[in-house]
Amino acid sequence: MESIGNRFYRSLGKFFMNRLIFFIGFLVLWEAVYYLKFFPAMLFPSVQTIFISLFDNMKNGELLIRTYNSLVLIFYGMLIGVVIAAALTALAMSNNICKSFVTSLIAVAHPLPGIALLPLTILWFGLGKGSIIFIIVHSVLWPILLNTMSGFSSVTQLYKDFGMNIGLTKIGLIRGIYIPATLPNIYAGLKIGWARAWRALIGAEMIFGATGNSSGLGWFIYEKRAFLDVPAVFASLVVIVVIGITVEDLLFNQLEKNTTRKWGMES
Amino acid sequence: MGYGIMNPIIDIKSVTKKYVNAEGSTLTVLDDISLKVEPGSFLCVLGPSGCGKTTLLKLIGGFEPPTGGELYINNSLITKPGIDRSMVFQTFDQLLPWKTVGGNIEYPLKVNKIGESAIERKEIVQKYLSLVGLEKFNNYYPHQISGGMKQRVAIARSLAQKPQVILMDEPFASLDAQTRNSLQEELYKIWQQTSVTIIFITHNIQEAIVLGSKIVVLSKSPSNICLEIDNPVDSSLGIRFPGSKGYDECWKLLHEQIVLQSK
Repeated sequence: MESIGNRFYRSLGKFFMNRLIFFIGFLVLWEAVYYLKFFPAMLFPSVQTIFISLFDNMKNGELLIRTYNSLVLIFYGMLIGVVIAAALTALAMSNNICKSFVTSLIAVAHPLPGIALLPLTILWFGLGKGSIIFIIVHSVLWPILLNTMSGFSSVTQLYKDFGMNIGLTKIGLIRGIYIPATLPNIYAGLKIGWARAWRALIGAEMIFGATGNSSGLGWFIYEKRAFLDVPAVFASLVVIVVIGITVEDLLFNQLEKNTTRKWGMES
Repeated sequence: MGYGIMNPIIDIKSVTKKYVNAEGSTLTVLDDISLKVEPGSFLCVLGPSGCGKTTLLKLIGGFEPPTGGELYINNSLITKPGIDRSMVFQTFDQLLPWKTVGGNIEYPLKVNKIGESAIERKEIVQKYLSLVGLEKFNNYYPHQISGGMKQRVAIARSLAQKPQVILMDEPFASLDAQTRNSLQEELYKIWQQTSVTIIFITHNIQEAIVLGSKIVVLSKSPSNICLEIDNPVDSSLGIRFPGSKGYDECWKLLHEQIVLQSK
């Protein structure tokens, strides 16, 4: 019989194979468009030019520093967002009045685009990292909270009955029943939050401009566009895509593989 | 009949349960039910569907309060759920999907600090897994095993908690006939070996006769007890079966009552 480990690596290999085929196909298509000269080469550079630009900007350290600066902001934004989401979920769980309060808060805040809050944020926090982090927190908090709360309220009565039957306390019930039963929703919320965080970050950075040495990818793209350095613009998009895919495939996918998918809880 | 018991393990005293529905009208589900359950007995509760069998079990479990009357376990008032009354449900989903088979049995032990150490708890888990014939499935997840196996695990999980009473809400109702028969046999053997008290809800007459040391029939809603008998069918040869002495008469008696109540 084939061992579970073998099967795991084979399916992982198949997964990356499919990804690879997709990327090769995409690059071939890109080059075809480039060589057919549909667009001016200045606006639509070849794959080669983009990668040379990517390499150069990595080598001189600029792109690396900018990426690092952006990732730090995203990290803090996500962290604060998750902590507040957890606190608000706990508050909502404590009683029904708090729950309706939190639900109303989501209804009010969730549809507000982060960028729309930017002018206000600048007045409150000034032109600094604080404002960007605030926008990121705003973008990630509501989808994470919304997903977690809808997961919590749809936990089967059966599990709750079982939890009460074996004498779990309220906190034990949340830790032992609610959180694991809601993991698929929590992951979905984190994934949406992660994607939203990038959008908010890049948008905010473009509007903010440079904040000293610590500007991020958004400002990098903006700057390069101003100098008409289109390959560098694409190079930074490549960086964003690579980070996005890496987090999706390696972090979230592995997380799900080792939890919800292993437990047969995938929705 | 049941009123001669000196120390009932479960004592149900004139219990009434009413629900108020959305329109504000009151629905009486249980109407003045009194019942005493002897320690070590296997009580089967029969009744037409919708008669409030599950409601009665939920009241004993402490999941809902009665509208009138009281319920006692070993002379103490039942006010909330407790590990002394372990539930086994009908649905296969009652195991926690994020825990292995062994983990599901171990979890209540851990929560209630049954067993001195992790090693001791593992031994308890192994003991009850082999009692239901699943010693090889310790590390499987619930979604990897069949419905019948899940119900076995649920029974093992309840037994491992060493409850005073196991409350079973039609645990075999979703199984195919063959699996159901073999699980009935297993449960009967386990009951004989452990002498645990079982209250078993069913709508299946055969199941009640085969398993119950005592059988109670509930009337249609608002329910009352319309028949309470000690199982007259001979069980000297082990588990009762459709050829056992007195089986046909008992079946007819129960069937008549249920037909009467279903009208």
